[in-house]
Amino acid sequence: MTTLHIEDVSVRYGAGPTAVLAVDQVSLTVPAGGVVGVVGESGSGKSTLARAIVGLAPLHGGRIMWDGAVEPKRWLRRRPSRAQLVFQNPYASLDPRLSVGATIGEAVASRERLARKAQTAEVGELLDLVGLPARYASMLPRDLSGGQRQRVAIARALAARPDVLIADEITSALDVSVQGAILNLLSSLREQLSLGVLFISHNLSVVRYISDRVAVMYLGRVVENAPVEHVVQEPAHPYTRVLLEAVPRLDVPLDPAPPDVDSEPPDPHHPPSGCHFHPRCPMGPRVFAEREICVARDPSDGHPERRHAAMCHFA
Amino acid sequence: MSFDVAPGERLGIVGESASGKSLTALAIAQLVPYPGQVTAAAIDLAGNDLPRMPKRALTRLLGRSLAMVFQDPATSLNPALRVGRQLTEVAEVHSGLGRRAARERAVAQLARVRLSNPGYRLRQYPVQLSGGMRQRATLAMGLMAEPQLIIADEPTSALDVTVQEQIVRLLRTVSDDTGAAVIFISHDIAVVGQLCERVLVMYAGRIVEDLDVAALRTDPAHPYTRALIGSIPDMTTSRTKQMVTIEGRPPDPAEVGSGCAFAPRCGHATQLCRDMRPDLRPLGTNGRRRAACWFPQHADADNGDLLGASQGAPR
Repeated sequence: MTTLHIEDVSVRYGAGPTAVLAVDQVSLTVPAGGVVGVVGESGSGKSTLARAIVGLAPLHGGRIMWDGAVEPKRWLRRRPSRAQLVFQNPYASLDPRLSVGATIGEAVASRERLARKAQTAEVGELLDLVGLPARYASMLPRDLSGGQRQRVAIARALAARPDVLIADEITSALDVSVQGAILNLLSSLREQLSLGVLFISHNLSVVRYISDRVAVMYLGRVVENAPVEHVVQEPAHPYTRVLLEAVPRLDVPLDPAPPDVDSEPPDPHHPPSGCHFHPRCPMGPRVFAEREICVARDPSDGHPERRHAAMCHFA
Repeated sequence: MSFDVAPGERLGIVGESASGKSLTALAIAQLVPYPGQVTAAAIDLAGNDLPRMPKRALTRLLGRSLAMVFQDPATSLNPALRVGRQLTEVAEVHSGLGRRAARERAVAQLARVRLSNPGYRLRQYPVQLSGGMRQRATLAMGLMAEPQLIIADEPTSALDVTVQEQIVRLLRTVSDDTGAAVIFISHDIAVVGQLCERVLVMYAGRIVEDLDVAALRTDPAHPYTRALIGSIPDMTTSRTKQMVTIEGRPPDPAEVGSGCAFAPRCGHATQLCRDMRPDLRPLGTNGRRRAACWFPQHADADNGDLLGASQGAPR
């Protein structure tokens, strides 16, 4: 029953005028057995946040805590990280020359040295946990379908007995008919193991289905963080609304508004002043000329509580 | 497979990976790579029988009348040439325009696809554009001649939802304005439903259902179509229910026997389905609706359980 707290975490790449703040003072909490979804466009810092939590990206500021205790530096750890990452593409994340059993066994060994028999048994248990028969241990990744490979990648992550599983776009490379099965697996794992899950995806429908809470990221910042019902039914931040309206829905035809001139995320090297979203915001200065505060002032400036709810002057 | 698309019509093709969607597109464009062979009674574009045309005339015709947009805009644009050169070349080669006229046309087409600052974009290289902008530029390249058919193969799959919506709107506007027919290939049924009037559902290299988008929403007849729709979470999916999954995996097209290719995964399959493949037959009395199923489903039958119950082997 361990809770992951991320407190004011920042990740910066480069230095000087060309530096990019990929993650900008993000705070999140992933409780045991809870699923926190992270959505945002590409370049919003979702994956960098995931990498920072497991120690693959250096922290520029902030801390990562487990039940209030600060995570030690990576080189001081005796055991693998308590957060384990599963990647988008199981065709790339598994070693094509290692059998399934060896892949998972390697991860078991990184946690604990076991006799060969005990390790084989553990691999069998892990395969069972992700819904694969034990005989799959002798197979190579090329013998498996995409969904099965993703199950193996999940089993490998679980081998380290993590408290939190970080799923970075794990269904995006899979066919839609397989996606559902992987989502079902995640739900059953969180229940069985009271595993916390940080579920990162650009697909809002999937995030809505699986998550209890949703954090919306824009240019490295969390701009809204709320229970999933709130985010979907009464989104507080205009960016969340823009995202929600863009989700294609079979039962709602596209409204006939003309296509926008390429309104795309701004250059992260030179983020807009004030609220990062103001150049695209449908309720900001682009539409309401008197709302100069959006250009002049960062919404969290003087309102630190906005970092945990909705980062908007007018929410 | 047989189908037709009328001028100005937007036809969607959906299906899982390896169902033959992309090869269908390539076969129309006479681009199927060696050693693949296309056999066809007819592939007719505006009165021209493509497979039996002399090579030269075919190249001329396709260069003028067919525009293709692929999933990865990075591979359809030449990274070593400025965007402008790639656009003007089309007009110079296929329409015989001079340099200046070609440039004017290029500016006009970039403006038409709503790329900001077209004159400046012409001098840029593809790497300097974002994914959405590249996709717009590719479409503009197709519009340099006067396409009668636009084939878009997963043009939005690599893009964010907000940009995806813009590209879908753009395709719709372009086909409305130019009267070009659109074949839109995607694994995302919701996007197809937004853009298209009619949908072909493919499975294992064949069309299993041909229906209006309205029918896709309310009353798909083929069990595969139903299962596919049921397995995709949307913004209304119950969060407490398990996702519908489709048991098993799509067959290798070489291994499909004499029966229906979907029979091994179908909850309604009988011995008849396993023995004999159903032809794609007209369904009902109104319009062009077709389905390849011995037991087409109806909206009132087995409500809510699109697949006839299935929670099965892991995939």
